[in-house]
Amino acid sequence: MPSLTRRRLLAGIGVLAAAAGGAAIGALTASSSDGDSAKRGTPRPPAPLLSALDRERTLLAAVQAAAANAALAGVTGPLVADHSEHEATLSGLLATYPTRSASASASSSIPAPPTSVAALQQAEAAAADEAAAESAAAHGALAAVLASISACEASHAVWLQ
Amino acid sequence: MTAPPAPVVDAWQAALAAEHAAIFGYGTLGPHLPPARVDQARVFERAHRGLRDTVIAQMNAVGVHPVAAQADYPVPFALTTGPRADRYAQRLEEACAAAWRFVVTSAAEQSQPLTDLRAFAVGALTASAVRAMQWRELLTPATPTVAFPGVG
Repeated sequence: MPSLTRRRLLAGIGVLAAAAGGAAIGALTASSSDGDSAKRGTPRPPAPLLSALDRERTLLAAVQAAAANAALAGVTGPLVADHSEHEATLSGLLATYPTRSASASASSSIPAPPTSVAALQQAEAAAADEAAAESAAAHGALAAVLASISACEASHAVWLQ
Repeated sequence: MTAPPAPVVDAWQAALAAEHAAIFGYGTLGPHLPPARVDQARVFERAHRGLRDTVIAQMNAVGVHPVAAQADYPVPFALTTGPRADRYAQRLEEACAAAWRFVVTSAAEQSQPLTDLRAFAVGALTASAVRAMQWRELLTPATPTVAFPGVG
């Protein structure tokens, strides 16, 4: 893999991370609202947690489906392992909220699985951007979890190049 | 601009210290790398130098005195064989990733947005995660990535 290509991607990641940071002010307002609701005894899961879990479930299903493609079977192992951990961790965080709230995060419809390494790479890069934006919109430890997920997915994207 | 709250400054300084250590470490391990990997190490070292310089400028701009590099950074094991130098490079990147992740954690616990610092820290965490993956790719190609860079 040419290092120049990787450097370009890293430069892109930096730009995207900076752009994602722009959502933080509004997100902190949302976090404050969540805190207020918690004080009233009706804690709601933060929006970044719900969107991240939905995305991870969708992505995990897509990567698992792609694993059935003989042309992709050699590259899906690390992706499935990492996304499974992401899904489990985010599910665990969501489980700390009331069941009624947790049920709000039903996974969206599963798109057609990627049929090429390039399509997998694009899916991972897009997921990294979304997780960075979710991190910027999150408060406390959740922000760090989402930042790590974004970094993982960016490393997937580079690995697949 | 004003300096971030003290806990964030502490985390920020720790990240800068990790960058200092990575720059020193790459200089130490370079001679022990196989020739085919020297270019990668040089590119990565330059990235850390650029990041260090940016962080120092950012700190100076808000009146924070940047932590200086130490005179020496002991290597945790002998670098007399090739894979060990690769492994040390991987550890340096993982240490930087952990330090930048802590900046994210610390900044995200504050009541003020700290938008720019948080975005910068996520970018630095990601950059080290990718570089760690590229060393892992050589050492443990079946498991090149980790689910949560910056943890552990």
